[in-house]
Amino acid sequence: MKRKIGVAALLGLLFAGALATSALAQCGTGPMIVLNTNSFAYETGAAVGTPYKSPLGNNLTVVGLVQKFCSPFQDQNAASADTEYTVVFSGLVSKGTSTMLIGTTTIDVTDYTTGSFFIYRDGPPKNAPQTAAAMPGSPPNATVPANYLDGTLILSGSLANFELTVSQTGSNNPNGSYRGDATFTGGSLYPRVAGTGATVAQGNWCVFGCKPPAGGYSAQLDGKFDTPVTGVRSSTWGSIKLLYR
Amino acid sequence: MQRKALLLLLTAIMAFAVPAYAQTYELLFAFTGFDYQDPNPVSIVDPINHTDYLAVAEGYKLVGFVTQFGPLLTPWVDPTLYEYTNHIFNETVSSHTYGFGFLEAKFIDGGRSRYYRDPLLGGTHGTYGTFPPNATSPSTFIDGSMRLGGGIYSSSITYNFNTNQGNFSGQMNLDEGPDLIYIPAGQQSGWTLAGQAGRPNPTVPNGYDNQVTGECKILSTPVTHKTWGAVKALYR
Repeated sequence: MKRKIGVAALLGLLFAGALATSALAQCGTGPMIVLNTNSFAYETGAAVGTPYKSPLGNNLTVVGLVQKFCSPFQDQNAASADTEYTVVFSGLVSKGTSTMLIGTTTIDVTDYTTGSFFIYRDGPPKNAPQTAAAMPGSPPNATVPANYLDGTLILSGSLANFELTVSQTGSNNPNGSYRGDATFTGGSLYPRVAGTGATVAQGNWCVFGCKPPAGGYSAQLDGKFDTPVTGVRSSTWGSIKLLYR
Repeated sequence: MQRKALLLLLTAIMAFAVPAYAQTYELLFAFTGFDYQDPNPVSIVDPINHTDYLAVAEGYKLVGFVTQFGPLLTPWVDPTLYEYTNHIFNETVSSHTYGFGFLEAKFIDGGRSRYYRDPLLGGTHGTYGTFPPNATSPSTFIDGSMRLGGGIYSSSITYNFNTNQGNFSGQMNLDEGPDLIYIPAGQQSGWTLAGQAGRPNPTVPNGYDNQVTGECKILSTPVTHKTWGAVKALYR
């Protein structure tokens, strides 16, 4: 029995290796799911101050599109003409923003409570807005986030330690980033990443000159879910052989 | 004569004002990759004050893959046939200010960003390796055909060592490469190159600092509503 498990494990490793080396050229090392730049955030509650001051208790939601899938999801065609892959972050409650000045840079840091993320496959036809100009104003509304939460749920999970850092250096335009620890827990494709532990969801967080013109949004973002890295332990060939005797 | 001049001026204003009103931010391209310091003379790690990271006169470089193209370039690229890679280089730190776990690093104007096209079949896949520069990086990210490049100015990085994430931002004027013909002359300047940089991350190869996602884009300009009466009043 132990031998069978060992053979299965070895085959699994070989399969994983094959996936890693045959990953699409544009993926490279690291990204597992790349977000489209037509992804946007909004907060319900009080108005977000500039460049990014989130009032305590505000509720942050992100709606977006998947731009590219890498291993182990490279069979999902995010470039399909009639099927869309949508992403939603929700349940992220603001702990308030702290501001500091370093040199000529003003930095706003906002932490959020643990929330959730969802990735859906929907269509044909696509029904989520595909550009900033198509985003309807003042979310939540009839389209946002509803049209990002329909179809088949392929992946979901928790999003912990979510933090935004927005900075403005001198008179330059402000810019920011986000980072959270994503743990996959569900969805139809969950078995492909089951037990991989937390990975990083991170990306750029644009707050100036990039938001949908209809209004009501706090940021435009890109980003990715990184490939989870399962912990490894050093061993000797002798120890490994012993496992199969 | 004065009336003709005014009419001409009004027509010109209308021609430019209408697109401006409809304008939203426009993506040129987006990318993911890894960044590193080169040259990196202050290489002894200082975990307290981080004097080793982007010290004055050190270089900042980035290699990666283009993941998305905006409307100006989409008709002219084909990711099913080509691998598109990007390279940021010639960024030299001019100031390094650290406090409370945060770093502000500014760069001397003169950095450069380029993207390249290499055939998927017969080309050389971009390979990061470790401890760049190495045998494959940046060489496999700058082979093939250089398609579009520009000079970077007013760039800086803000880094939060408390949570190990940061962001960079700079301006870019496009000025080289065969794909420059797809960018209208009036749109070749004033692009914003911005992104996120994060660590520690187990997927970051040894010798690189951060995993990066970024975009090159033109930001929209805030516009104000005016009545025809108000516009006419300007020219009376």
